[in-house]
Amino acid sequence: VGPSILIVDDRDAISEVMVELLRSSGYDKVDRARSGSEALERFSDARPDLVLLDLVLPDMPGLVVAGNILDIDDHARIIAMSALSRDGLVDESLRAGCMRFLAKPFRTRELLRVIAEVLGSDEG
Amino acid sequence: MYDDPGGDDDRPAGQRSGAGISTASKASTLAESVFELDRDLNFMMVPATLERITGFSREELELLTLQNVVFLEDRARVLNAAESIFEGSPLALEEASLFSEGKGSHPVHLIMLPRRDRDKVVSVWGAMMDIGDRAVLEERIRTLSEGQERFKTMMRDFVNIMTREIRQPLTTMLLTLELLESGHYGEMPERSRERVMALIEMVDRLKDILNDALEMSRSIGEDFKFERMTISLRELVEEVIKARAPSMKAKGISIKRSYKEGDVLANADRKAIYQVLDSLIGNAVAASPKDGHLMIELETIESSVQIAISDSGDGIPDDEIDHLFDRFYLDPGTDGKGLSDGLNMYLSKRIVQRHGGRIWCESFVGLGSTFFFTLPSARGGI
Repeated sequence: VGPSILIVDDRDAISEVMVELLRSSGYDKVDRARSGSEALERFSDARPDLVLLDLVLPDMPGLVVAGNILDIDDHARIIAMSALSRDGLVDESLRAGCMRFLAKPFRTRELLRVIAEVLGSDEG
Repeated sequence: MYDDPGGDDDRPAGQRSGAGISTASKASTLAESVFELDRDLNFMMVPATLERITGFSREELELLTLQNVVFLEDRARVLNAAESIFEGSPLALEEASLFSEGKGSHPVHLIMLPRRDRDKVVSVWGAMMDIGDRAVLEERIRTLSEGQERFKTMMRDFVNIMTREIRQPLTTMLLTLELLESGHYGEMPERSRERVMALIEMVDRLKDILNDALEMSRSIGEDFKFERMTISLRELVEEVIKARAPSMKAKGISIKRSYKEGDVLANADRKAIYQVLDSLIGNAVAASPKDGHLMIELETIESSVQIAISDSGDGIPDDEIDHLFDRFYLDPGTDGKGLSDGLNMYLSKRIVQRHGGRIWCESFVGLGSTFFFTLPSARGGI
């Protein structure tokens, strides 16, 4: 059984295509959440192997969601994603416990490389 | 124009600050303020400025002395300064309050000089500069610079929000196009696939344009802050080439290096020069045909280092070379490939100029272009 992935993004257009792309790349167990609270619920229930987390969500800041996920499971693997261009955002997300940062827009190969790196790492 | 060392000020020289008031109007302002005093400090020549400030007519003023128009508290000092000119002082500069009809007092600057006839000082002449509006002027400058700050913040916020809003759909576009290209939605005829690949490249370029716009909005009205150090250009060029290797390989582009010394060291900001090299090499790759070649030359010339990047592209017509480094100049010859060059090139020019270097382009239509830039050598001062 392959690894399970949770995509947290309030923009359906993005998460839909990501689901499709990940499935076509061999990741069969992909789920989606549209908000921070939905993400926490899904994470508690399913404990996915990886969370792809957008940092701007409608109900709470992405980094708070990251913190809460790590409270539930401190071995959780999180990749932060963002279209924001604020200085220091990459450092902030790494400090908050995310393992990588993906700047939107990214290419498929970047996404797949980062996912493979994070899933292949000894962390978690 | 393209290597105009005038920095980021794109206005013609005659309109730059300092030359803002025309010479003619400066002269007439000066003429209005010139005065002449005789040995008894009577006005021999009455400046228009004095008529305006005091409200007295020229005829009335001609009957008055300097002490009649200067306020009591400044009177002794100003009269002494005028007397000192008759006693041999070459120059007197005073600030004084003049009697002003309606307003009580009005501040002026006085410059006084001796007018000699052979060796004898026959009169004092000088200029009376109205500084009464200085407070108003200072207030106006303050308001203006506050407004400018607000504008800068607004501009940055706007670009930040705009880039974020555009990056989101770009993410969907890129990933969807890549899925299409991979055959996920069914095999496409080769021609369609080529068009999709071209679209992917364009969206990728749009990403760069947004980054450039951000960079620009951050640099509005600010000097680049450079951290200068000794940098190895050879190392930096190799780093850029390595990062660009996938796109070069995809196009079959080969690189020839000509490094005239073991290494070429510049005194410059590493990150900023990386950006310049990346823009120039990126453009050279974009301009080159399939299986084309690039040539990169590094050399130290006296106290400067010179970098030359040549491509085997179509070359750039003369009338376009002049605009290459203009802000927002869009290369009209390419179908989107050169879209971001306007910002790239403009930023490169600014970076190089702020380092005290020069940037220029030599091109032959049909043969290719060479972009040159210079930087201070790290060995220059020795």
